[in-house]
Amino acid sequence: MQAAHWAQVLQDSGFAAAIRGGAFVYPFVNILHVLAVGLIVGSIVALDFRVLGFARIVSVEGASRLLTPFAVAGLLIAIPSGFALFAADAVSLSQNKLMWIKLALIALGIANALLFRKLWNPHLGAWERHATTLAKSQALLSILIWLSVPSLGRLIAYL
Amino acid sequence: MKQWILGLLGAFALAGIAAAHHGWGSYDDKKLIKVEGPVVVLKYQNPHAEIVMNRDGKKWEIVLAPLSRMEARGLKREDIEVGKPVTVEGYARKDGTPEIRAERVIANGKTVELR
Ligand code: HEM
Repeated sequence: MQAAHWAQVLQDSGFAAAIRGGAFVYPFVNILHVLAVGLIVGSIVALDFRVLGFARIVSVEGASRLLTPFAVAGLLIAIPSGFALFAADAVSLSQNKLMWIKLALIALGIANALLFRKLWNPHLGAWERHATTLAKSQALLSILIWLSVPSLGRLIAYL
Repeated sequence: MKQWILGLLGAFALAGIAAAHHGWGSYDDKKLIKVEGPVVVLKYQNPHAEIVMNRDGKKWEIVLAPLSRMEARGLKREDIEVGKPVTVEGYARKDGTPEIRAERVIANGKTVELR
């Protein structure tokens, strides 16, 4: 496949050279990325299970207050660190199918979460017992997405 | 409940298929190849250093290892230079791409295992 011009420009940038240059920058950014991933997946999946009806002793609203900030912080670290890893090897990564499926799933996961908030945030307090079927389907979708994204991320290195 | 367990199994099955087709499996580790000669191109970079060498009239891309691993095993930056000879032992890609994953490299009088 022909290398996309933008990918070549990104890979040749001083920023990308700095990421792949030293012995320690890339591993450091890689660690940040993985820690952020842990933060996202752990918090979102726990909240999803609460919406599905696990651990009713905790209110949905309480779970959301505790877990949402961790998920958002994780995303805010994963996106720039992921971009840095991408930049270091942009030409070959931009031709990697799994990379694009992963990014599309991230976009879908974020859209799903935003829609969930828009639809249900005002009602969380009233959901003492049961979430609606739509909300549960969204939680299920969310679990699938946020387990698939890190799996794909790990598999990129093998393709 | 049943639905999502099935979904998960499906996702991991897909992941399994993808993994089975690639990874170290993409190199033919039944056949150790030896390449000797000068380094044509050197990319001293993460996540893997790479060099290009000539073999049978073709340019071969040779994938070494992460920089920190090479340094930890005693292969320093100045041991590999464009134009200086090195010896690489490794495995070629099964799909025919002229690319070798190095098992070990002999440079500047040192033999360094890279796996
Ligand atoms: C937001 C959720 C994300 C998750 C859950 C995620 C997950 C992962 C995981 C698990 C890895 C494997 C790390 C390793 O094996 O050391 C990885 C690697 C990587 N990620 Fe992400 N990632 C996310 C976002 C991003 C974004 C937004 C980008 C790019 C803009 C990105 C680019 C990369 C790259 C380039 C790698 C290295 C791939 C390689 O060369 O092996 N990630 N990611």
